[in-house]
Amino acid sequence: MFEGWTQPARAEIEVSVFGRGYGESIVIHLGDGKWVVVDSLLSSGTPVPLHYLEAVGANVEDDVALVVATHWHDDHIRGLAAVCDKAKSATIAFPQAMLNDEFMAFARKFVDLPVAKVSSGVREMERLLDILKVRNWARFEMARAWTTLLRYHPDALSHGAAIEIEAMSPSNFDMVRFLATVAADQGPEGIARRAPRYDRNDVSCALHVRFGGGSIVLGADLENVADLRSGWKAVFGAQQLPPRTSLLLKVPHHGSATGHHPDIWTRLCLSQPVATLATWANGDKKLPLRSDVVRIMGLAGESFSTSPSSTSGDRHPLQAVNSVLRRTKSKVRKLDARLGHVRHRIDATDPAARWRTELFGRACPLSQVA
Amino acid sequence: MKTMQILNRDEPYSESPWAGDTFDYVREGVSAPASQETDGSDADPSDPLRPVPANVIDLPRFAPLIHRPTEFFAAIHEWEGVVTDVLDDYFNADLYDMALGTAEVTEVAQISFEDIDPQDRARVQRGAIFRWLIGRSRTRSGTSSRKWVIYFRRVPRSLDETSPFASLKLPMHLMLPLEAGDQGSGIDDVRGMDPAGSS
Repeated sequence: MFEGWTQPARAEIEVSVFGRGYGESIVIHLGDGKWVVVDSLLSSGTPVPLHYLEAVGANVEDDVALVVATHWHDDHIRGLAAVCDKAKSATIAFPQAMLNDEFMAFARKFVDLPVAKVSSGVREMERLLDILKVRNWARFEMARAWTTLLRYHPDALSHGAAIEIEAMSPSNFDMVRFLATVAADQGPEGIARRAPRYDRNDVSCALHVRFGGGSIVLGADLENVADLRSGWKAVFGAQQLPPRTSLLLKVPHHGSATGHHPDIWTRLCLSQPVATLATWANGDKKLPLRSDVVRIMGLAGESFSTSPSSTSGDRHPLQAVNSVLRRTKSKVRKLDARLGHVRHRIDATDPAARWRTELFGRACPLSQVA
Repeated sequence: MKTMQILNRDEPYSESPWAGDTFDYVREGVSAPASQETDGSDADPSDPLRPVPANVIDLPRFAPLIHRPTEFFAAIHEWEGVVTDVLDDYFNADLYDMALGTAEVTEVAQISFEDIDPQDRARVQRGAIFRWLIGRSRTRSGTSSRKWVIYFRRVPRSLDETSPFASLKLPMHLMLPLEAGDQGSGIDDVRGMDPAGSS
């Protein structure tokens, strides 16, 4: 897809953040060709993580060690079931609430949706469950706060660094509240409806990746709300946080103010970390806002985005459509379908090493985000 | 031959589906009664006994009206949409371009309630699926204009009993209760140590 998609060295840790218009995905190289996939998005109908792994010569079947769905809604994990289907040795992890009866009853309402383009909202979760059933639930982890999803002993990889990937969220309180929300979902009878997204990303799964003496924080869409038992406050209310060693942050919730918690920058990350985010748009809303960009640039040493904007203007290619839209009070904005890729690499054997960043496609420094 | 309007007494004059249309009247033996030949301009249109205008022949109702379309619509663009947020004056939606081969969100929209049928207002709920057609409308008299139609999909609710959501049986070791204060369990499979691991 892009020139320069090269294989990392055996001793290199890599964090690749992909984004386009709608959706994001992260691919991590742990060393020795072992990989982790976090969420998925499609490009021309192909799961981007699969495309990238195959392009850099990874053996997907044997060498993807972990696949994480940080969300339940298929807007965020498009193509993840196809990744899991191919990654036969991978542990599959997603929030525990997705296995609860309340969620199952909720999801059942949407699986048989008679529509042309719109997905049910739960289709990827449905396929993941099918794959896990076929595999008799071997290699499955329920993600919830401070659960270890994957661990490599220091002797297991040639760089000699131990690897540990932990879920920092969702808290049990957030999962119970999410289940109460879906149990109360009573859509009107007779209206075709897909599984709705809710305002709060209660069960989003933020991850902490430790390698040797360093670490990476992947903020997912976790938000900072008033309740101490919820979101980032629940993370920082934990009795024992991992050591403050991170110099790389995937900024939570597209850099929004609601995803910001000062302790992310002061208790998990070292001063002036490298920060990367993916842009987002919904109706009249776009993230990050200019104020978010300014805040993040003030906290990060270097900062990047998967694209300058998630939308590419409001002109439709058909003049007749523009002519009608001008007469309405409605607004339509085109999502930018072009892929952006921010790739960070570091030598795991060098304690003084710094993250090196490469940009592909639409990816850009955060300062260029409109 | 005289150009005339046809009035059916069961419907208010101004709300007739044919109001405004003109026809060449060819039926023999029927004429407008002279006593009713007024212009009818002061009449209440809902009054069935109102005077009939001079150019209108009052026909008895022989059979139910055949509702002929007054307008033809040809779509030139079509989206399938999903409501993502509902606000006071508008709602946000994801749009899927029906002309493209992929099932991906192509546009995001902010749609004013003024642009939808008031009867559809109650159907605007998070997750509701609609179609938005933009095209050209032509009346029977030949007037052409560009228009849009937004309509919400209505379906009977059905449950797919073959879905894993309908029949999931978890192994016992995965049936963990969710309790406040309960923290993560950790894993037993440490790659590089577990002989069954894939490292």
